Amino acid sequence: MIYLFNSEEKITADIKEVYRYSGVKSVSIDKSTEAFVLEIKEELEKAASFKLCYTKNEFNEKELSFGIGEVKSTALLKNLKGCQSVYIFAATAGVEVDRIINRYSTLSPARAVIAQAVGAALVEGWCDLFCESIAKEEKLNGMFLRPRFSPGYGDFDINYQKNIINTLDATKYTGVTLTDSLMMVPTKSVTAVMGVSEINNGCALSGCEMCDKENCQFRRNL
Amino acid sequence: MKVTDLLKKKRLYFDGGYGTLFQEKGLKPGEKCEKWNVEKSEIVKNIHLDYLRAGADILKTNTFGANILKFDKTELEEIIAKGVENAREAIAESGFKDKFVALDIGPTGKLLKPLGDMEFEKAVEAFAQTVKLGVKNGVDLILIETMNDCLETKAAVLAAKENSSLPVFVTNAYDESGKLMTGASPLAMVAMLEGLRVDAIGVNCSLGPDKMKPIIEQYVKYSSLPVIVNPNAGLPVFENGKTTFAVDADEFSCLMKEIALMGASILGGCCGTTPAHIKETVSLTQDIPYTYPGNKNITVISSYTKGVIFDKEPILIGERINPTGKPLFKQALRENNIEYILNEGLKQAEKGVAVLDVNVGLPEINEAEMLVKVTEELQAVCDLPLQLDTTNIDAMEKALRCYNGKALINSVNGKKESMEKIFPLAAKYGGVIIALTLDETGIPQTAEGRIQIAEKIISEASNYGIDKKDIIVDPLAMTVSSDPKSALVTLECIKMLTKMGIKTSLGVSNVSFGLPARNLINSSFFTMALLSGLSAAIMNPFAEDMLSSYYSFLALCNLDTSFEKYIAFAAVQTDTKPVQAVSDMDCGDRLMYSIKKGLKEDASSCARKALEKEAPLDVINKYVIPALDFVGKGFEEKKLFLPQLLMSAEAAKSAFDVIKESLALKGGSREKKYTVIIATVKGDIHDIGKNIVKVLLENYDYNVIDLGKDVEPSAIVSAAIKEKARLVALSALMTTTVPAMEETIRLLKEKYPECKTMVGGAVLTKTYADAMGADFYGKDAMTAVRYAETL
Repeated sequence: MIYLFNSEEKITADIKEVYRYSGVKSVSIDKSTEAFVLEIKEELEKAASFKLCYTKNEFNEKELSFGIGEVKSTALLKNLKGCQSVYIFAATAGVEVDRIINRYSTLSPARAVIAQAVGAALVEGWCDLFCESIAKEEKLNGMFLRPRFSPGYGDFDINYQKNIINTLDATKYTGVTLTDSLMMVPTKSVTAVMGVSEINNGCALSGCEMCDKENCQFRRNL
Repeated sequence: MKVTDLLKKKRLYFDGGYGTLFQEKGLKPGEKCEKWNVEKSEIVKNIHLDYLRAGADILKTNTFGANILKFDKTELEEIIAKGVENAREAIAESGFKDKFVALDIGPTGKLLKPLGDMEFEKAVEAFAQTVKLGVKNGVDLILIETMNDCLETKAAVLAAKENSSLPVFVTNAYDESGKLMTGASPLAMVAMLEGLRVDAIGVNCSLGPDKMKPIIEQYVKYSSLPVIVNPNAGLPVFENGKTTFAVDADEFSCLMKEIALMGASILGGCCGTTPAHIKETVSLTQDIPYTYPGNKNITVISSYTKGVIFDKEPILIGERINPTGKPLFKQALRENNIEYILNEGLKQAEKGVAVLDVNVGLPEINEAEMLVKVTEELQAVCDLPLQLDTTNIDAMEKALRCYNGKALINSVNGKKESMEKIFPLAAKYGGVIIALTLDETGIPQTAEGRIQIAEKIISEASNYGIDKKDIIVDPLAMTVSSDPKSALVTLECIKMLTKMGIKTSLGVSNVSFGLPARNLINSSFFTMALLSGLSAAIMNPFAEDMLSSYYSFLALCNLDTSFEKYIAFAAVQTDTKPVQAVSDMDCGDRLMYSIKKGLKEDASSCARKALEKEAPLDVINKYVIPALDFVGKGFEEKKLFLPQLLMSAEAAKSAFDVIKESLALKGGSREKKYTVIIATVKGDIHDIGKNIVKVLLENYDYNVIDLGKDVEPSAIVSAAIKEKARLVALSALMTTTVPAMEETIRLLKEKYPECKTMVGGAVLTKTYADAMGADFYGKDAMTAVRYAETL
C-alpha cells in the first residue's frame, strides 16, 4: 500500500543550513547579505509545493531486501542491521523551486547559489518533518527509527533511485522523475529508506556525520 | 455511432480504476500491469466486463504505461494489440451496443525540457508509436490521461492528431493547490487544449471527487468542450497523525451526482474506484437532464501556468523584445546572447505587462532557430504568455509547435497569401491571431474600409474552423503628423469593432512618429483608444506616461474597484531613491565601493557618473578591475564567501554593461583576451556552477561562449574548433555524468589538442581530473580565473 504524507505545518528553510549549503561561514555575514538571503528564502518558501509518498515493508536482513528488489550495499546493511521493517519514501519541494533556481541561474548566479541552498534546506526540512512524524507513531508501538539513508550514500548505488521511484509510483504521486543520468527532477527531491527497529540505538548519526566523504566541502562542522 | 455523436445526445460513462483491482489479484508493487494484457488476459477482460455491466460506455485499454520508453518494440506491439483485443472481447461478450474502446495513454514518466531532460519532439515521437499501434488495432478514440505537465500533454495531443483522425479526449491530474504538478491552472489547460482541437477535456486521478469540485467548476465555466471527470476514490493519506482511507461507492456516487449537476458530460473513475463506484454513479446520475456545452466565447491565451482572458480589462503587451532601433539588442542577437533578451522580458514582467511580444527578426541570423530558442528559454524563466511576432512562416510554425500553451500570433492580414499561411498553423496549434486591417489594396483610409477587411479575415478564418473569438483585430494606428484625421479613423474602428463584439489591439506609439515629446501624444491617444473599447495594447512598459494612462483608466472606469492596482502603481511613482550613504566619496570611489559591497544598481549609476568625467577604459582599469581584484583576493583568503564574491561580480557586470553601452555609442568595444568555451556536460542539467565561472571570466575580459547544459561532447569540440578557443571549461555535478566529461576531454584532445581543458563541479577532485586528462581542476570560481590568466 502506498501512502501520501501531508502536513499543515509550514516548512521553512533552516538558515544555518542555507549558509552551509552555499559555502558561507555565517560569522562573515553582514546586514545587506543577510537581507539578500532572507528575501530569497522567503520567495522559495512561498513557491515550494511539498509532496511525499511512502510505503512500509518487511525487512529481510539475510537478503537485504525490503521490496525494491535485491540490494547490494554494505553501508546500507550496516544502517539497517537488526531492523524488522523499512520505510521507503520519495519527497520533493516541487517544480516551482527549480523554476526559480533556473531563472536565477541565468540572471544572477549570486541569487542562484542561495536559492539552491534554500531549496536543499527546504526538502531536507520536509523529510525531517515526515521522519519525526513517523518516529512518533512508531514509538507508540515501542519501535525506533534509524536515520534515513539515500541512494548515493556510501556504496548504496544511485541506480536504486529507479527502484524506489518505480515501487512507490512516485512520479504519479509526487511528480518526481529521473533523467537518463539518474538525476531527480524536480532537483530538490529525496528518495530514501529508513529502518524500524526494536532497539533504540540513539540514531545520533545522520546526514554528514555518517557519510564517508570526510573532505566534502559541504560537510557540517568541517 | 461515433462516440462524439453519442456525446451530443447523452451523458457518457467511463469505467473506473484497474490498478487496485489488479493488486487484489496479485499484482506486485513496481510490476508493470500492462504485461497482464498478455499474461493474464482473462483477468483484464473480466474487469472490463464488470465495468460494462456496471454501466460504463467507454473502456480504457490497459495501456497506461505502454510506450516505447518503457517497453521494447515487440513487447509494445503485443501489449497494445492484446489490450485492445481484451476490451473488444469484453464488449462482444456483454452484448451491449454503442460501447467504445479508448486507447489509454499515460505520461512517459519523464519530465520535458527545460525542467527535465526529455526533448519535446522525442516525447511526440514516443506517443506517436503508441497512437499508431492503437489505430492499427482499431480503437474508437484516444484518451490521454493523468497528464501532470502542460507541455507533455501538448506532445501527446500532437502525436494523436498527427497519426490518427480519431476523437481525442484529454484529462489532466491536478493536485490540492488546483494546479498541475508543473503549475498549469485549469484555465491554461482549457485554453491550450481547445486550441489544439481535442474533443473532450477534463480531470482525473490525484484527488477524490470532493476536492476536485473547485477545478471542475472552472472547467465548466471556461470550456466549450464536454467536460470529463474521472476522480480517484481518494488515496490512503497519513495526515496529522491519522490515516484516512478511500471514498466508498455510496459517497463517491453522491459526489458524482453533484458533479453531474455542475455540468460535467462524461463521468467515470480512476485509482481505487471499482465497478460498484461506477454502477452507483450511473444509477444516481442517468436521469439528470443532459445538455451539450455551448460556445463560451472567451478570447484566451495561455502560458504553461496561466491563462490571460481578453475581456473588459485591457491587456498590456510588452513590445521591448524587438531589435528595431536597438543596437545592443541587435548585437545580443548576433552574439547569441540569450541572457540579454531574457532580461528584457523579465524587466517588462516586473512592470506589470500581461503578455510579451517576441520579435527576433534580423536579416543576418537564422530567425526560425532564434525564435524557437528564445521562446523556449523565455518559457523557462517567465510565465507570461507570449505573442510570437514574425513574418517568417517557418519561424512561426516552429515556435508555435514548441510553445508551451496557447500563443498570440502576430500577425495575419487581409492578403490572401497571409491568410493561407497563418490560418492552417493556428488551426493546428491553436492560438489567438492578431489581424491587421490591410490587404492587397493597402490600408483603407476609412473606418468602414478597415472593418470590411476585418470581416473578410474573420469569414476566411471560419473556413479553417477558427472561431471569431480567436481573432483580435488591429485597426492600425497611423502616423497622425502625416494625416491629421488618421487617429480619429483608428478610434472609430475600435468603437465599431467593439460594438460588433470583436476584440481589438493596437501598436499605440506609431501614432506619434515625427512629433516632439512623443510620450504626451502616445499616452493621450492610448487613453482615447481605451475609452473607445480597446482590448489590448502593444506598448513600451518603461514609458511611465503610458502606464499612468492605463492605471488611471482602470481606476476611472470601474475596472479597479478597490484601486489596488492604481495605488500600487502610484506608490512606485512616489518612491524616492534611498539616500546615498557614501555621498561624500567621488563617483570613482563610489563605484569601487558598490562593487565591493555587491550593490548592483549603485554600481551602474556610479559607472554612468564616472563616465561623464573619464574615458570608458579608464573607468574599467582604475575602478572596476581593482575592486574585482580586492573581492577576488578576499575570497581566496576566505574572508569573503561565494555569494558575496558573486554579488560583487554581478555589480561589476552591471557597471560593465553601462560602459559597454557607452563604448558602443562611440563605435568601440572592450577588447577581449581570448575565447573560452564553457558548458555543462552531456546528461547534466545543473548549470549554476558553470554560470558562476562564466560571470567571473566575463568580468575578467574573456570572450566566453556559453553552450548551456546537457551538451554533447561533439558539439563542445566543434564549437571550440570553430571559435578557435584557447580554453574549454567543463562542469559536471553528478558522478553519473563524469564519464561524459571524460569523453569530451578525450575527443577534444584528439581533434583539437592545442586547446586546454579546465574542469570543475561538486563531485570532482584533482585526482579525478588528472585521471581523465584535464589540464586543470578548478576547485572554485577564482582558481578558474587564475588558471585562465596563466594561458
